[in-house]
Amino acid sequence: MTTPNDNAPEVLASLSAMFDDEATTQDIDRLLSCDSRSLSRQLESFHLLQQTLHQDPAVAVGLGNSLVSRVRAQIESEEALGHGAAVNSMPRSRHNVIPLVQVEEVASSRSSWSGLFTGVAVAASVAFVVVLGGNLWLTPDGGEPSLAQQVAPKAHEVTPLADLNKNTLQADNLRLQNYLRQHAEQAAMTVGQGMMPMARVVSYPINE
Amino acid sequence: MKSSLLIRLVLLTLSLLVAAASVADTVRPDALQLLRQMTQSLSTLGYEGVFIHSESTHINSMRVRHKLMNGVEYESLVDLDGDKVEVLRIGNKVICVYPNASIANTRAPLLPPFKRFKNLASERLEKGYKMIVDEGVSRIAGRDAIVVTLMPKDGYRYGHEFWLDEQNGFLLKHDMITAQGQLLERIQFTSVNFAPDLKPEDFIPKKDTYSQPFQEAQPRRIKNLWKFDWLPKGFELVWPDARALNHGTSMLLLSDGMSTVSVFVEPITKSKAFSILNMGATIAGERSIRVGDQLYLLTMVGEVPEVTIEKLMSVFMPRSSS
Repeated sequence: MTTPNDNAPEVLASLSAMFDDEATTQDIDRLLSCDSRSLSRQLESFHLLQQTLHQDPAVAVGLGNSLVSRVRAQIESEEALGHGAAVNSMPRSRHNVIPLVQVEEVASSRSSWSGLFTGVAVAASVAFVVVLGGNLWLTPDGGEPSLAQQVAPKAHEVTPLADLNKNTLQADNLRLQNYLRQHAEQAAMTVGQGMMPMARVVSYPINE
Repeated sequence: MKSSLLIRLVLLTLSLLVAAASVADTVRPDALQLLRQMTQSLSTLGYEGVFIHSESTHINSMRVRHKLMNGVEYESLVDLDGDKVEVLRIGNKVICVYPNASIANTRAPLLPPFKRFKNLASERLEKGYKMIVDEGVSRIAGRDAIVVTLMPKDGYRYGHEFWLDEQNGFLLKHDMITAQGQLLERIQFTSVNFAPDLKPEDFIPKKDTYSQPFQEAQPRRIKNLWKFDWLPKGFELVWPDARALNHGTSMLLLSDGMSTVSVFVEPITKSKAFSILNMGATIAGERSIRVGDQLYLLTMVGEVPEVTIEKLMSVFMPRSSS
């Protein structure tokens, strides 16, 4: 079987279908024919996104013990035992959904194999749409805030307001300083509670 | 027999009276009442004090003066640690004095300033925060204080703690904290006098601190052509319309009664990648958006978590033409 390009749209579509429990036999065959390591990296990327989105504790999903390899091994052991059932007919047990953080335990438990995929699906389907959408935030609806608020704080370096004065001011900085001052003044005049809004007006850099 | 019964009755009555008095002492106003008292005190009391303002790695001390004289509200705020801005407010006029730039910026706010402190957006606050009055009394700047905590109900805003003077509700200390308890910004009085000897001339900027007063054009009100497809609970547009700034920039203002986010939309010719500038308590996000053939630079600034700015930027769009 020709190994498809692991990043090809059809591969990603098959991955998404699998995570949404809609994978056909063709999708499974396509995924299993991909390079395990490449697909594992893809899955790990999805999972890292899921960790970031849900602030899960760090999970080691090492390349040396890739998820797909373990699944393939599981399938092979299933076939060897003569079950031979297609993936789609495996009993789904939502109650056995086990988050990827417990992947080692899942791999040793045959009954939770579908749960493994489901767990990954729940994690990765969100991340998958996020990646394809090219935007961290989905179209908002009533359920979005719980997703949004679970985003781990990015590691943006903190630039104290006073330091905006120290660097040579470019046009962007000038515009930003103007916006900061407008924000501080309007907030203090229209909404501000207490001294803090007015104190910010006084504190903002003034070099222009 | 009768006398012992009478004595018991008297003792019982006395104990009931004492108990009632104790209950009255311990019944505190609720959080909203205390916050209303805070906003009122800031605009009605006469006071002069020094407080420290700290945010990120920066800390400085400031002096504030406030007094109602002949029906006019006078207020001044000056940075004591460096050459920065002195903000003066006399009635409806706000004067920002810049010592180095030698420019006095006089502008009249669109709303009388003292009104800003009289209207507590209680409904919006209740949507976004759980308000708690702490037990016990703290002590700040030599004054007994009651602590009121505003705990955010979601991850789109920060928490606040207010230490309010037990006698007059004046704000003695204010902490803005993250959900993880990290202190982002603080103001704390080190001394405060509620009977200051102040006169109107104490609020007039010194002649040698500025040289060229000028009148900055007031932001014009213009039609708001933009909308948010989603807002965190409690957040609303402060103005129904927009404000026109320089270079064709429109400004909108969002608030939940405590936190504010300013939105600036400026026509540009070159696209700009999404960027976030974290300044401790204040976050600024920028990105370009295309509407038809026109590119706009969208900038949002606010004292809210980064996730709020990011999400607001993703749901900001032009109003559909009707």
